[in-house]
Amino acid sequence: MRFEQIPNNPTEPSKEQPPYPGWVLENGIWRKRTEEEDAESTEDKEDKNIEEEETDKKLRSLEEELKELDSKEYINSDDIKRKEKLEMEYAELGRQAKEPEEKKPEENKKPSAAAYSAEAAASAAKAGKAMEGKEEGPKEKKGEKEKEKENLEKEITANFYDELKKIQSMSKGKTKRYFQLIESWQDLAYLDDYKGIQNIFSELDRLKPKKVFFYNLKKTQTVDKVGLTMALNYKEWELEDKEKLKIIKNFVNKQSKEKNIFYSKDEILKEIAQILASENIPYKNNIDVIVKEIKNPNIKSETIARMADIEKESIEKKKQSLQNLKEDMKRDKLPPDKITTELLEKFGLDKEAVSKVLPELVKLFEDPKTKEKVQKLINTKEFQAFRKTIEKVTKEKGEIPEAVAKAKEHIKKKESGWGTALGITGWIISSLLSLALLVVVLGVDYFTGLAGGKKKKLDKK
Amino acid sequence: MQQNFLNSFPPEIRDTVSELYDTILERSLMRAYKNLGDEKKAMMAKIFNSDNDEEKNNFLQDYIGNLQDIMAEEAKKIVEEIKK
Repeated sequence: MRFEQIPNNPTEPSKEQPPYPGWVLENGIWRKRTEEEDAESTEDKEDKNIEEEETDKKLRSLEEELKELDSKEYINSDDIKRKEKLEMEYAELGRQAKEPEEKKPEENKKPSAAAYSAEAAASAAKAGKAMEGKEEGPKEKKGEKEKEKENLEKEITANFYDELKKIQSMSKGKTKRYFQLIESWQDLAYLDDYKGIQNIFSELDRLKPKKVFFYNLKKTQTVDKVGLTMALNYKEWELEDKEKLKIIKNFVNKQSKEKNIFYSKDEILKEIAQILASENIPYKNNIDVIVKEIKNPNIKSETIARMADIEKESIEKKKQSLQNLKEDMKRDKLPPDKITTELLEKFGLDKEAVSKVLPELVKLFEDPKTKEKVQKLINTKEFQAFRKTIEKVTKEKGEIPEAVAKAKEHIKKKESGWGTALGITGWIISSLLSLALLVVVLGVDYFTGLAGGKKKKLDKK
Repeated sequence: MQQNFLNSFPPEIRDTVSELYDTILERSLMRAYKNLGDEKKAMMAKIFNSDNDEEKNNFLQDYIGNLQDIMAEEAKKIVEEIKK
């Protein structure tokens, strides 16, 4: 912004600068300072300098923290809270530093750390408004704070949309970036009623790769997390209950339309219903909208029974369950494809073997004839002998200490958090074991490498 | 998710996989337990006899944090045993 300077009337003494150093302006006339004024002024200056230095220091450190937050690619809810706090602090310090200057406008203003970045200044000005509200009535204060919050929320959502546009314009690596964006956005996606995130899922479906194993696994985990986050942020989400439930229901149903062996619509709906119950959302005309969507009668009755149990739980217990779930979701941040690959490599399978084994597994499940074939083979002598071997191995148990037995039960219990944390490991191990069983009965030995450390084709010379 | 995947198996295979998984988990925990000192073993017994899930999770995280790796190793061993 440019300021036009209007020169002083030549008949009046200049108000911009003193005619001699140290002179002061009094009633529009410049005069020399008295001795007392000089002495006071030196002391004042010293005190003021110390104060200003301290304020500058604090302002600089706050600026640094704010810049650090602004430079983050994605910000989460904790960052937003921190940013709000820092901006309030910044504005308050800025206001304190500004006050004496306003009282004595004739004094030369020293450039200080208050000459902060335009971005930080804009934020501080916004927060400053909120602070000014402190001196006004409670209604104004509340209004300003709400406005400040609203602006911040709009800014955050706009940043996510900017990122979405950036990814859309990319020529390569879109899928990975889309998944990362969902991960970052999901905690705050209620701010735009999950519209942005749902757009990303549509984009992802459009980009679906030919080899869908890892994609489907990752997508299921992401859909699961978004669904649970919708329930976890239900109270922060400022929309009519009816609308919120409709969005959740439609989101879960829409995702189930895509063919995906990992996806269980009913299981996700069950977990969502449980979270809502823990948040004390009424069952009738609310959670029942979700429960009605569960198709499997067993899962439906389990969910209803669980609702009744949750209702009886204490507030503390409900809070604890929600907290456990949130921690559990944070723990599971590592992309499953990375976990899967790492684990499979630990099993002794190299990447080449993994690329053969996994599509085989998918093929087995996608082929409708497989079940029939497997069912027939189960009755063969070979399979029965194989099963006996397994029974022998699993029954060979030494003495199990009570602590170990109880730890095992705790891990297996889904609500413990560890059940889910080990979910992927458990899933991979179970699927590999299942595959091992199937390939044995189907006569395809992909597991030579797994058992012996070398693939079969390498043994053939 | 895991349950959904397993549900697509015939019951015979599903049960066998569950038994195997159970054994792997038990063996892995036994291995980790044996590596604990007497004091930690006593602590584990006390914690897993209580109803405090948070303490249980903390214990597993602090003292048996590499359970995933142990499980992968045990699974590999078990497949070798079956194939013998």
